[in-house]
Formats: sequence, structure tokens, C-alpha cells
Amino acid sequence: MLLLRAQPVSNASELKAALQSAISLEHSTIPPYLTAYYTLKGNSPSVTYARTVIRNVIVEEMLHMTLAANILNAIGGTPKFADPDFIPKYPGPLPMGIGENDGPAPGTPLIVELKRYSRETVKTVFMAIEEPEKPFDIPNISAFGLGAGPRQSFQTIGQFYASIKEQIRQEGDVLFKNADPDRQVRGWFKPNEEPEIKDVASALSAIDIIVEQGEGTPKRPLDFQDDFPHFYRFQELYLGKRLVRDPSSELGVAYDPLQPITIDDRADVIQMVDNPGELDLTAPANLFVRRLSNECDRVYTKLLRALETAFNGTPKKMSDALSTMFELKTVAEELLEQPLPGGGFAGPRFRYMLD
Amino acid sequence: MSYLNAVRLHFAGTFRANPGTVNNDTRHFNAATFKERYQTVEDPPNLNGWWNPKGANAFRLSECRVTNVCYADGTSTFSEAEDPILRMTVREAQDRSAAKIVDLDPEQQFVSEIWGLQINVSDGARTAIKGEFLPVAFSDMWWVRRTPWFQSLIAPVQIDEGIDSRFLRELSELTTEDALSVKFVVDQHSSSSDRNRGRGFTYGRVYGTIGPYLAGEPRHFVAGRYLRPVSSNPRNAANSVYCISAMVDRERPKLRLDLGNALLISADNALNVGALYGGYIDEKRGFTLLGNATSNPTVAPAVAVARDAQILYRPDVDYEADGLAWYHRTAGIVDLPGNSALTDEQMSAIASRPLAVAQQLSSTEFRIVASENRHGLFVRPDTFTFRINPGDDQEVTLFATKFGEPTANLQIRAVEELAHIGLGSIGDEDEIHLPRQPRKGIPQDAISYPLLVTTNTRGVAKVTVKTKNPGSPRFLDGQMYGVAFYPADVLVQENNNLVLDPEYRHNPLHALSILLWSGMPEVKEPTWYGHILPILEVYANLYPVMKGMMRLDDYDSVVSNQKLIAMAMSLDEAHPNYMPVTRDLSRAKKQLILHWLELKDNATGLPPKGDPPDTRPVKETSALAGAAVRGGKGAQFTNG
Repeated sequence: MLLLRAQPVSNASELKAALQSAISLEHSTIPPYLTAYYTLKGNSPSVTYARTVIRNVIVEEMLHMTLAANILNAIGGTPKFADPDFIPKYPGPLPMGIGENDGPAPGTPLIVELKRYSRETVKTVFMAIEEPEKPFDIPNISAFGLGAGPRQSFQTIGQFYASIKEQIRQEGDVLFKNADPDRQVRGWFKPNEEPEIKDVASALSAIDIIVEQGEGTPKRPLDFQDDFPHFYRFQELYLGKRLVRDPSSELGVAYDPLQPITIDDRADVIQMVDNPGELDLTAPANLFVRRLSNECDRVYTKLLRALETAFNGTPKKMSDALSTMFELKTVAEELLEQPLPGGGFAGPRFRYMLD
Repeated sequence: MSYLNAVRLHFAGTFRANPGTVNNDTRHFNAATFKERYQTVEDPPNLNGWWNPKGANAFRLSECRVTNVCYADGTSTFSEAEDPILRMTVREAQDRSAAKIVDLDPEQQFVSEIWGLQINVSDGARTAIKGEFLPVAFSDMWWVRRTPWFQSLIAPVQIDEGIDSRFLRELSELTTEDALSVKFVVDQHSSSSDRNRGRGFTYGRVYGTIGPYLAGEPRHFVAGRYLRPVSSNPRNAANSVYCISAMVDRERPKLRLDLGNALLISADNALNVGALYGGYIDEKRGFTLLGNATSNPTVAPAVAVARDAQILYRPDVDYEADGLAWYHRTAGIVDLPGNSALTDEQMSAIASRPLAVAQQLSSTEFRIVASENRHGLFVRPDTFTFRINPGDDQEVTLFATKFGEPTANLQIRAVEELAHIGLGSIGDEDEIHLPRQPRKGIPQDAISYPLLVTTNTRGVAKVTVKTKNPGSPRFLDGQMYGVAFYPADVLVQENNNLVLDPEYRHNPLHALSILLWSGMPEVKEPTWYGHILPILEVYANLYPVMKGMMRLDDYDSVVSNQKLIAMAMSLDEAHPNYMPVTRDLSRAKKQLILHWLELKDNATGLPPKGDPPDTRPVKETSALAGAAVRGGKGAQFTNG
């Protein structure tokens, strides 16, 4: 299970900082997931299924980012996206030094790379990111938020969100006295997933959605909508078996060997080089790839800038964010078609770059 | 005056134009005969989907540096220390998707338009100039160099007067119309299968100029003096020079020429034309150089002794090299004479005589390569591309100048012109049996306009084009029409024909290009199979890049994206996200789709699907269903 370095939240300003960290954290998973998603090729049933699995997780990460930003916005904060430091460096650690708990070096950050789709990446990166707390790991929430813990403590992602919840409870509805429904970004996801953030209750329900969609409820591997949490959906791809509802199993779900997911890591995947951001593209033979890579970075930057505007008082800017997402896909796909002189194919770098 | 003002900024950098090319071929609009390979890149001799079938129609500016600014007193600088605007770049919008480059119609691919471009002059931290570039088609496509130019307004414009820049102060002072004038020339665009050629596949070079926009000026060209090449024969050496916009700056006084799209600059940046000289054509003395008054030689049309005449540029200089970079720093704009001013005598001479540019053939010989016509008359519509819904009126604004001055009471004649339409759009050899498009411009009576108009005191005339439903003369929606405008005096009646004075040297691409859409009866209860699929199927065929987002020919995919589709189709056409990107859907069809998206089937709660057509083959049936929507006349053309 992953732990992260975050200060326990003990006042309103730390709450704002923690929500900004939550936005960064939810965002930081999107580039590696998108890279895997973009590199799947063809339309075999297994590839189509994997694409849907990853796409749905990405959409939920975007939802989580939206919910965290709406809470921050509702308590008078200013969500930040358009900043070079907002994007993690790949390969590198995710925000808050999120890392492994077990193993020889507890707390060593998980280094996340931008890699093409493979079973191994699904296992070692995606499932590691999304690994839930075990039921018996559910913390005693009262241990946090009381200001008693060390300032630099390790928490699970669930604990991190629990401490945000606790602080919201402590601050009470007065925290939302200036919440403005016209500043909330809504209408882009399922209605029951995007509550208007206006008080403690709505903020807490939004955080529950984030945690459950990622990890499931403490009791079973299903979220509040009876959907499979991210970890188990990635595990489907790793095990090569679809997850189905099974009333006969104790948890109500089971992997079905009769519904195999078979993806050939070579034939079904564009052979993008690992971490395209580390390529040296200065040679003339890379002219076109260099231009496209810059363009891809710029489109991604425009997307972040549109998001920042949308979450800071102009929600209708989301339509521009959406169209740049589509544009990002077209440029990334074009990039992934370009063979590199040294072998393999080019790919998106997800860097902050203005014109 | 516009961007040709003394106060102006020059920029240079890279552009990208990434048009989808499946729709370059009219026959690809026929769903009944569409083949999958039309979505793949050309494979000679098969044209397939031409050179860029997966193009997303993006138009981008990138890495465009401000290279030089010119001030009201005639001085200029490219030093960042002298004017901080020289640290800035000219950028597209930094928080939305790219502008789009779009053909008017596959039958008119010589007036491509830019939609949804925002122009910013910024260093990232501060933005000196910001505004929308009003959509416009390119002008004066020069095939020898494969280069056109775009001119439009940046409007409404925000100028940050808090930046300590002399250029911005002078520009603000001149700006009264909440708009700036911008012009840029694009060239060296690569469509080569070698992705690293030139600046890279679909990238090219852009040079531009930004200046004030003054009240009453056209938005999309300079209503000044317009020099045309004397020959259009590409084998003629004189064809190394193309159209030149020019104006006289009375204050300085100078003759300002825009050679941005006039010089033959090849891909390797060589300026492979000899030295050029500016002058005018005197009725007695012939070509007369605008040089130093004391040593101004007067010459016969093709023979001269050049001593002190102004040289526009010198072929022995590498203008691209750092430190000089003439084209880079000026976007091709020059003032004549360079180191002095026009004399009263010269001002008076050029006020009533055609300007000319001449090549030096030898130390004693000149040849005129471009000039104004002998009448000094120039008539152009400000905008010449139009998409019109049947029944709508379209006002067209014409500007007329004589030797650069607005000319009042000029009679202008409108003449049907179709030569500029239908030049592209030829399909594969093996597809030649497919029906070709019927004659353009029919039915003739679907558009009407006054044949004669007269300019007002400002040299402006307004023409109203009235339209009615053309029916379905093509399997593409609507029909293409063209109208040219000439000063009545340059047309001579011979027998039953109007004959144009060849000396007038009309530019056929300045004629109107009109796409008049077909009308259609109102459909109260549209269904997917009956009405929507026949429209969207064509888009699914023509724009394979959309597959990454949705399948436009698949009911489930369309319905699951219905909110996005409705949103994009409801935007202003000038918004970069407007759908369809190609802006080629009539209002009636757009409203039909929007209406359908809002309908809820009783059983499913989703837009109604209707019954699939049950005749075989399916493809032909759906195309016929489309023809029926358009009034049923299309069938005669789809059956050859």
C-alpha cells in the first residue's frame, strides 16, 4: 500500500493546501494512464475492453480532480493548474512523495514513468497507485486532525482524504459561507457524481466519491454506485480475466476465467519508447517529431490553462478544456505514429510549454 | 493604410496547417460509392484520401518572434533593449484549441479560410496585444511559390498600455476603432511524405505585420495601389514577381510597397530574381525610376541606365543571414526612396500614373515585371467568400480606388464568373466512371444581384446578393456561384459579349465564391435512419480524425456524445470548436440535427432511431434517403 507525505490538516489554510495537493495528486495519474490508453492499438475485443477500462478510470480521475477543485473553490480557495510545477516530472515521484510502505525502505517514493501499455506497467504502476487499504487498515480518524501528529507524517491516500474530511467537519458550514454555485464546475459527469458543494455534507459526500471510486468501500470492492474501484479494474487487465458480479462469492464479485482479456504487449501496443520526455530530439532526423512533441506539450499546457480559468470563476471554459483534450489525443496519436531513428516510436511528454 | 502604416510591427516564425484532405475530392461526398481506402494516404497512382487524410484542420502559429518595429518618424529597431515588445512572440490563444483552416467547398480550394484564431503578442507574463482574428480567406495564392496571404482585423483588441514600449504608445495613439490590422504571408508549407522536409510535414514559414486599423478601411486588403505581374506564364522570367500592394505615405512622403508575396523566394531561401527597381510608367518617357531627384534617369520601357535609382533588394546579399535578415525583419515591406523622400514632382507624377516594378536585365536595361493597370483602377470586394442559406440576402462591400485614392461615382459592373471555381477535385483514374459534378452556377436564377452599382464619395459600393433555393444540382449540398466586379469602363461591348480590357489585368480570385446551400422541407419528427445518418455518414467518411472521439455514423456513439455535439454545433461559427469544423452544413440541416438531439423516443428516452431502410444495398439506400431530404433531385446525379 502507498503512503504519502502530508501534513495532517489542522486549520483552514492547511485545508486549502491539502485540497490543492489532492488536485495535483488526482491529476498526476492521468498522464501515465493516458499514455497507456493512447498506445493500445487495433480494435480486438480485448483491446477495446482495456481501452474502456482505462478510459473510465481516467474520466473518474478527472471527476476527482473536479470535486477537489470545486471544494477548494467553495471555501474561497483558488485551484491552480497552469503552473510548470503542477505537472510531475516523469519519470519521478507523484505529488506528496507518494511511496511504498512495505519493503526494505519504507516511504521510498514510487517512481512513475510514462510507458506504453503492458501487463507489467498495469501491475507495478497502475495497481500500485490504486491499491486500497485493507479493511483492517482503516484508520481511527480521530487520530488525525487533532494536531497531535508529527508535522511530516506518512499517511495512506485514504487517511489523507480522511484528514481533509475531519477538518471540514471541524470548520463547519461557515466554511462555505461564500460558496457560489455559479463558480462550480458541474454538468460534465453523471449527476449523482457531482454534488453542488455548498456545505459540510456536500463536501464530505464528494470526498467519499473520490475515495470509494478509487479504493472501494471498506467492506467490499465496490463503490457507492456499485461499480468496481480502480484497483480491481486494473487487476482485471493484469490477470487477463473480466471481473463480474457473483452472488455466490462472499464479496459479491469474482474474476471469470471464461471471459479472458488477451492483449499481446507487442502486437496490440504501439512500441512507444519509455519516457519520451527524456529523448534528445535535436538531430535533423527528429525535426518533425520535435515539432509535434512541442505542439503536444503546448496543447496540454492550454488544457491546464483552460482548467484553471474554469475552476476560478468561469465554468463555461470547461468546453475549451474538453476540446483541447480531444486535440491532445489527435496530436498524441500523430506523434505515436512517428518512428524514431533509434528504434521505437515517439510519444507525448506532458510538459508545460507556452508558445 | 492599415498594416502598411509607418507604425507597424513585424513578426516571423512557423505556422502549421493540417487540413484533412479526404474532402478535397467531390466524389468522396457520395456515401453510396465511398470506399474505405479513401481514408488512407495517397498511394500513386491512387489518390485515395490525398496527402493528409487524417488531418485535423488545425491552423497554428508557433515560435513567431517579433522581429522589428517601425515608428511614426520612420525609424525602426530590432533591439530588445530599445523596445521591450521585441522580447515578445506572436501567439495563438493559450487556453483553447487551435484555429481551423477550412476550404469553402471542394469545388473552390483556392480561398481557404482561417476560423477561430486569436492573436496575442506576449512574453507569457504580460500580453501587449490580444484579440480575435476575424475569419478570412487567403488572397492571391501564388502557385509558383505556393504562397498566399491572410489579412484581417484583430478585434476587439486589448492593448496593454502599462507596458513601457514606444511602439505600443504610438500604436495606441493611432487606434480609434478598437481594432488592429494584421497581415501575414505563409509559405514553404510541406505536404511531402518526407516528414522532416523543410520545417516538417504540414509546417511552414510565416511572416507578418501588425499595424493600426483606421476607420473606413477595408478589413481584408489594402485599398491603395495594386500592382499585378505583367505575365502569368510560369515560363516567363517576368513571372518571378507577383502581386504587390502599395500606398503613398503622404506625411513622410514615401511610396510603401509590400513585397511579402511578390518575390520568388525558394525553399532554400535563395532570392533568385535579379535586382528590382521601383518607378512609374510615364506616357512619354516610359518606365521612370523613383530615385534621387537629381540623378533620376528617365528611360524607355525596357532600356535604362541605372545609376541612382532605389534598389529594392540586392541578389548578392543573403537576406536570411543573421544581422541583416531583410525579409525576416520587414516581412517584405519597403519604403521608397530609401534614404530620401519623394519630391513634389514625383508625388505629382505618381498621382496619375501607374506604378511599376522593373527587373534589371543588364547595367543598361530594365523590364517591367509588375505594374498597376493603365487606368490606375482597382476594385475588390472586402470579403469574397460566402456561405449563404437559401432565401437569405448577403451584402457585399466593394472598394474602388484610382491611383490609390477612393474613387467616387465609379460605375461597377457585376458579371457572372465561374473560371475560378471547380479547378480542383479530380479523383482517381480508376474512379473516372463515377459521376462528375454537374455544371457549376446552375440554376442561374437562384442568385440575383444588381448588374451596375455606383461608388459613394468614399469609393465604396454595397451590393446585395439575393438568393433562393437552388434545389439539389449536386450530390454535395447546394451549388457554387461566382461573381466578378469590374469598373464598367474596362468592359467593352463586342457583339453580344462584354470583353475585358486585357490591360486591366483582373485577378480572378477576387471574384466572389459563393456556396449557396440547398433548401429542405421542415421535418417535424426526424429519425436517425430517415434523416440524421444520411447527413452524418458523409462526415464520418470525410473526417477519419473524428474516429478518435466518436463514430458519427453510429447511433450509439452519437447519442452517447449528444451533449457535446449539441454544444459544438450551437457555438458561434467563429469559435474554434464549432462543428462541423468545415463549416459546410446549412442552417436547415444544422437545426434538423439539433432538433433531433433534443427529441426523446417514448420507449428509450433517447433521440428516435426510426427504422433502418430495408432495401439493398444498404449504402445506396442511405444515400438516396439523403437525396430525398434534399428534395429528391440528387438521385439523378448519384446514378450517373
